[in-house]
Amino acid sequence: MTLAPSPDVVERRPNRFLGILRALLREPIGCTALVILTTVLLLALLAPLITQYDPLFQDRRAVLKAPSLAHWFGTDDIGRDVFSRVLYGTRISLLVGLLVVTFTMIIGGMIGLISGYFGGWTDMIIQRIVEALDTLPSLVLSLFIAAMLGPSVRNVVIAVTLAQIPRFVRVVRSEMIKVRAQDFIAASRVIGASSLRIMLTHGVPNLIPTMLVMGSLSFGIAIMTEAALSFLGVGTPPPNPSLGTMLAQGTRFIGIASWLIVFPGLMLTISVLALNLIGDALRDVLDPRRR
Amino acid sequence: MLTFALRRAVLGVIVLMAVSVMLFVAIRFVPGDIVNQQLSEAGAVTPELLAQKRAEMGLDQPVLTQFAHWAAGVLHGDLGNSLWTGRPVSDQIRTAIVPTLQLSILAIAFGSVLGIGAGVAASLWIGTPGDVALRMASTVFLAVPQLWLGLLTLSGLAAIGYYIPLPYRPFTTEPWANVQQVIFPALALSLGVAAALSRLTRSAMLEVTGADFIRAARARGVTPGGIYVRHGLKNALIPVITLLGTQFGNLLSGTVIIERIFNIPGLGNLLFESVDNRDYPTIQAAVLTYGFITIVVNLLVDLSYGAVDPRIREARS
Repeated sequence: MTLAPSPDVVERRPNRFLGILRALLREPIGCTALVILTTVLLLALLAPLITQYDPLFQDRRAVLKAPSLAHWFGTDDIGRDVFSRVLYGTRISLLVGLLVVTFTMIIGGMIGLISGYFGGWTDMIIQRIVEALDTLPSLVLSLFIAAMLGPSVRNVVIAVTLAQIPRFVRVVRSEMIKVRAQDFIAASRVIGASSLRIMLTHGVPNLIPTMLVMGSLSFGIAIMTEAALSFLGVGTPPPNPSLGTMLAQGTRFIGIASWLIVFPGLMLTISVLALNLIGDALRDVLDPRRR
Repeated sequence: MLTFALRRAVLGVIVLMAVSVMLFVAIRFVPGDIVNQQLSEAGAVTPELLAQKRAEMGLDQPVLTQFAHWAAGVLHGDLGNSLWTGRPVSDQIRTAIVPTLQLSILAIAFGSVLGIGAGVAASLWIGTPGDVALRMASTVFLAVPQLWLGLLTLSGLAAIGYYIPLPYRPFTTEPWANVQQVIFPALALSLGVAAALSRLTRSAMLEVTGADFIRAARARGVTPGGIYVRHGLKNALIPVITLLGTQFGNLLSGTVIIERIFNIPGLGNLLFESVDNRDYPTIQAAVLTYGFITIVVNLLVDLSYGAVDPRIREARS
């Protein structure tokens, strides 16, 4: 980055994400993972077009039916179509994941930037709080918050976000410390740039690679945590279809109706796997040392 | 070494204090306390009755006074009594921590053996189908939620007609029943750890085996096995220990779920029930116990660096 950006730098900027995407598509693993994730996303978004079953409709004549042509993933104990519930449940998983990652990036990113840029007392206090939050296993923290606030999608997002923030703060802070030590930061300070301006124009762009990698891994963790909280009964409240509540329901029929456990879990695993692989591929694409 | 350990222990205590302040404030800011919870079950609720009950439990005092009271108790080794059962909280914690520790230690042990074994094997077979298969397996197992793995284990056991004996029995009274109850959940928990470890072990081994001192050892005529264990594995151990430390947190998160699936009355179940009942002293103690376990594990990890690497030991003294 130069002090007076040359025209071609300015021109290239809007294409940055496209460039990353193109590099990702060139990696075999990244490409596969993107295809899988897009499929999952489409299945969730187009659920009403793909299945004619209402996820809440109870068919008393088809209770605990094994997978068949009529019900691809079988039916549950009150006659609801499992395939349809898995698709609609994936919607909630992806929604929670997306919200958690967005909030975590914004809040965790901001706190990390401030902590790393200013250092001193601000940093000291923020780091002690992060350390304290970090001593609690993340699910314990989320369970505690979610249970205290009561079961709702909004509260799940709050609970999972709070448990994810410490990791982001720590990573963003250490990246910011590295950036701060470079000459161009001192140079912009000399020409009178404010702290806020330096953080936004020099801090943020340098953090984007790290944030993207962490974001995709975080997305997977958020989906798993949402399922875990719903499984424990403090997440997405019934009758909304959620992969976690479906698994909890399936535990009552272990040995009788294995499809109640297999399909929701499979969807969960595939989504997380795709997100993890994208994270790995992004790390390879974005890490300058590996290029 | 001793001063280093002491300093870390003191820091740990400070962090725990910070955690307990945060918890105390958070718990009391949330609407709906135990009195509401208990009386709503009993039926008739009048404002007078609510106030009277709260006064009995000391919940009408200002938050700061409540905290001072609680903290003074903790310093005397008294965690208070459960608002729900009336039993001393420390007793409940003492019973619940045993299965949780048993599960996590077993899972770490299984995970280390599986993970390090797979990692070393993959580094030996680098480029072969065996290496590819192991790497694929570890990528998949990193993505499988512990929740699903636990449920699949249970379904698998049911499919072959095996049912784990219930209810939970402690190892001291019925060791055989206890082993049957703990071994499968521990295995389910260990696969995630194993996956993370095998990836790291593989790359650490590959990095080390390219080093000059390995070539020197080979030139001196040390056997390949000797090189792997004495030079390779020993030098790959530091990052492996670091990872084990961070994985322990994940593992504890996993025990909360696994305890629920396998009906094991551990810390996770205790926390879950006490949150449901708004049983403040128990919630506080259970969450703090998780914090305490994490801090002890981190301390052990830090100390073991010195044990593994003499250079770190010297730098510290």
